[in-house]
Amino acid sequence: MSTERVTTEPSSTVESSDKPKTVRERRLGLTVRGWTIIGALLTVLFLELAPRLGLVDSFSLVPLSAMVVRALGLLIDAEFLSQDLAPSLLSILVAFIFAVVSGVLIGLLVWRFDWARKTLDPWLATYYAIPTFALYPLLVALLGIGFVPIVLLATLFAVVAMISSTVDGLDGIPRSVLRLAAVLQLDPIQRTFKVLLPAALPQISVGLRLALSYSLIMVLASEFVLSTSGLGHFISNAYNDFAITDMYAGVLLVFVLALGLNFAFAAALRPQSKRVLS
Amino acid sequence: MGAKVELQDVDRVYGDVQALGPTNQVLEPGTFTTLVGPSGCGKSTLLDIIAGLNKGNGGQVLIDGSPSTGPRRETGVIFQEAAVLPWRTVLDNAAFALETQKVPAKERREIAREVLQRVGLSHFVNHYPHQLSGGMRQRVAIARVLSTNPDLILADEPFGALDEQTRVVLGLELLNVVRQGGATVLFVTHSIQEAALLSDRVLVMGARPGKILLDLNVDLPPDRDPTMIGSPVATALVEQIWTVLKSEAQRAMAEQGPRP
Repeated sequence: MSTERVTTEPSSTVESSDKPKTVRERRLGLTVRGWTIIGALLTVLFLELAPRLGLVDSFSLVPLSAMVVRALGLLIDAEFLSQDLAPSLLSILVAFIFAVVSGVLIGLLVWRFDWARKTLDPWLATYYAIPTFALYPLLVALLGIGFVPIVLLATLFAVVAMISSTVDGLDGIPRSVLRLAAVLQLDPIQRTFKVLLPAALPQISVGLRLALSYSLIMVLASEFVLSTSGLGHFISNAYNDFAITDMYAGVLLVFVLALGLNFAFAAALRPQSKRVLS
Repeated sequence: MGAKVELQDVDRVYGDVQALGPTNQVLEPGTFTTLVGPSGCGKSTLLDIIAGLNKGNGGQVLIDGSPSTGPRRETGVIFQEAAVLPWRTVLDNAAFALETQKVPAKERREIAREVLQRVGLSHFVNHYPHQLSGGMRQRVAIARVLSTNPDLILADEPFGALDEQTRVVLGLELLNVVRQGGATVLFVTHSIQEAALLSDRVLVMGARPGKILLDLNVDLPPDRDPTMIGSPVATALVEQIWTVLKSEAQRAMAEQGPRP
């Protein structure tokens, strides 16, 4: 019965047997990872020392340690948390959810109906060449400032990444899998949730990460001009008040937030990204 | 007992290419029939029409005496590339057909385990398809087909992508499991030896228009093993099929235009 062999070991040794031990590539005596760490350390050193040594004047840059201390201070400041961090996170979350739900739905329609694809294709292809943010005066005129226009702008910015990745994923489903769905006479709901979306998930998850980044970028950028609260507003406010340490502390928090969300996402989506057939 | 499948003047045209000429055939219940012919001769088209995945332009397909209108649950289809779902374990792949038919979880897992054992995969129930070889993936697909206990199995060059040895072993395995279940099988292949070794009956098909040129009974004992490929009966059969297919293949290559 067993004339064939399993390509990888069945047990928990799959991980190690997947990657045979190879000699790590070295450049100028260091591994690639090593250079990444060196680069990060140099950046940290520069940010700390340049202002202290007077290489950069203290109105332009404050030492990194001062930013970190202030950022930690902000994280236990109830007013900052409720007035700035919470509104931003809420806007990002709402925009992200809207973008994902509508993006996947539109993606399914574009994939399913040729007329929808023909109509939307030119838009999808050129969308990111258009600076969506330039629409903000229009949105201020129509919706005023605050939560609604911010979420709308961020959703508009993020949704196209979701549509494109969903369509890509669906286009990549093997014909035999679609024929299987036909043979088993799946109803549209089963077909969508048990076959189409799981099959497209590796590409959709790329879109998810992009959509999250795009939501975050657009929410923060919008808060600079369209809001009286939020992290973006906090940063622009600090900038206007010459509160330079506050401003950098805000920027630092944005960086940490963006990186943290991205890593969390990558980790959550890792198991399924391995289960791709070659 | 009446015919399992009856084709009455079934044909199919793609543009101005007659992919399948008017075809009349009967598949008797419980028989293993192979359809062999050069690529592009319309054998997959014929299989798709019987599966209800494609419609003929004329004629009709009767299954158990009633006209076919589309896919049916009692028909199992094995595709050329293993139609496995990479995000599901072997067990959940084998249980997938039952799951879509709303069979309770416990029951469908039990059945899935049983069919996986029949195709020799009981040690791999918790594996994912990417951890398996091509032949094992095809066994998973076969297990899923067996899980619904089909009375008609249609296989479209299921082992075409595999090496010769694996192909013979899997073919005989398939023959064995369907004999136990008593299903009628139509097995499409371009391998003449595979056709001779596995089936009760071989239909040889020619191209443009696709038509059945030869209808042969295989006079081998019901229990097959790989050595029978060298037996006088099989050799004579292979030779007979070759004679017809050689001229057919030459003709097809000479006039091969754009494929439909």
